[in-house]
Amino acid sequence: MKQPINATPYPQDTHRIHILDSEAVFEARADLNLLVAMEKARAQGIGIGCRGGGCGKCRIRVLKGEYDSKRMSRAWVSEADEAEGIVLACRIFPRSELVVESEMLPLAEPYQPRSSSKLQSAAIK
Amino acid sequence: MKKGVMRPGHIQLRVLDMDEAVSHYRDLLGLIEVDRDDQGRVYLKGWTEVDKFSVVLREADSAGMDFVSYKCLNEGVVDSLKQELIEYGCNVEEIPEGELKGCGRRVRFDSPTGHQFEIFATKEQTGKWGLTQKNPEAWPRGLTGMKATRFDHCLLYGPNIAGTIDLFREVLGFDLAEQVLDDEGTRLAGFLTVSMKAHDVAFIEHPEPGKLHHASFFLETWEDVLRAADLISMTDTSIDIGPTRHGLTHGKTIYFFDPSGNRSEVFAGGDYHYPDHEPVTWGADTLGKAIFYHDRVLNDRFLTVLT
Ligand code: FES
Ligand SMILES: [Fe+2]
Repeated sequence: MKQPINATPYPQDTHRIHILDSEAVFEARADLNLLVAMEKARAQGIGIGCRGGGCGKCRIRVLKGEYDSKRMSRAWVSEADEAEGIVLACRIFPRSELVVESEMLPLAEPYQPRSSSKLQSAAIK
Repeated sequence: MKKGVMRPGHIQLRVLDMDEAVSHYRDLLGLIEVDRDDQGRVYLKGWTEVDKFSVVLREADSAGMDFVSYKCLNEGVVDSLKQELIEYGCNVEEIPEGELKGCGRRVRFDSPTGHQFEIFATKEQTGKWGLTQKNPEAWPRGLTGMKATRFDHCLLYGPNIAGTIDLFREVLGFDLAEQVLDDEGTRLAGFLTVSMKAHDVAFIEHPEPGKLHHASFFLETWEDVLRAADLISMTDTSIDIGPTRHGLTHGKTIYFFDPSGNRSEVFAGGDYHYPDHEPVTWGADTLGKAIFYHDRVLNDRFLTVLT
């Protein structure tokens, strides 16, 4: 588990994914990262950002199941986080049925990328 | 008032995987790979740029921007601006000649928004790629991907853009070309130029310091932007939004992501600015249209997906 991913392993394999927050359940292909697999299944519950492991928007906690992962930004996932199953959904590849939930970002500020900033409140009104 | 800063010189970006990053910037954007160094950094440029490089990629454990650097007329300008930056209160550091291959000494300084900037005056000039200096052809053959012509600007997010904008205007001689003001007159976004371009750098107010929104590359035409969009689909590259037009600067644009999550933009067209122009102002109540002129709605990603 958590080895760097090889090129398109088991493309025919799919695994069932459960997102606790949105109660979404979908089938994810093993050769797609979890976030893109969720988008392709038109499921919701994980934040969609860069899809490249850089922005932190898709930060989740894997509660159950096996996965491989690619390098993800240490700005959002520390080694300790990773050991606890906190990952970026766009950098993991399911290897079994997974149960996940979204995870707040580790910021000093109360600001969270999913909540509003000043410009955002200006845009809304 | 111009102070001898000419243009964006180079941007150093952090990437999580160098091979993937090179295929994005070289093969997809169509930048020219010009060099590598013993730290493993990769140097690239757009084909119209006369200096040796304008983009430096560094493999790291996070994405984002290390620094962006502006080229000055000569070393005398760098010396006097260095003094002014110190007096202004910046933390200033001399980076020795050769730290970037083919680049002279650089003066690095910090800013209220938490970004690192540099000024320099000396860089190896290798000329436009694939063209002769005398009797040049219209364009070089052998370009790939989107055939991006130059690194044009970056948009940076951080707290206290008022402070960084003041630093750029007062010390470095940039003009404010465009801005977004809220009802109370607070500036939420500022687009600055040191040339006739609509922007050479832009800032948006945001609580996290030192963030990169995008690095942008210039294309000649709207048709080129559409072709870039085709290539994004053909390569299954992570898309953000577009092709569309910005209200701010009126550039025709597409946003997408590099394989480490740094946002890239390619764009064509846009307004011009002279020093006697008043800043173009957009109200926060029309922010959707200011950012995405056709959708007229701001997507959440524009404000929150940063590296
Ligand atoms: S979507 Fe940006 S880190 Fe996953
Ligand atoms: Fe831009």
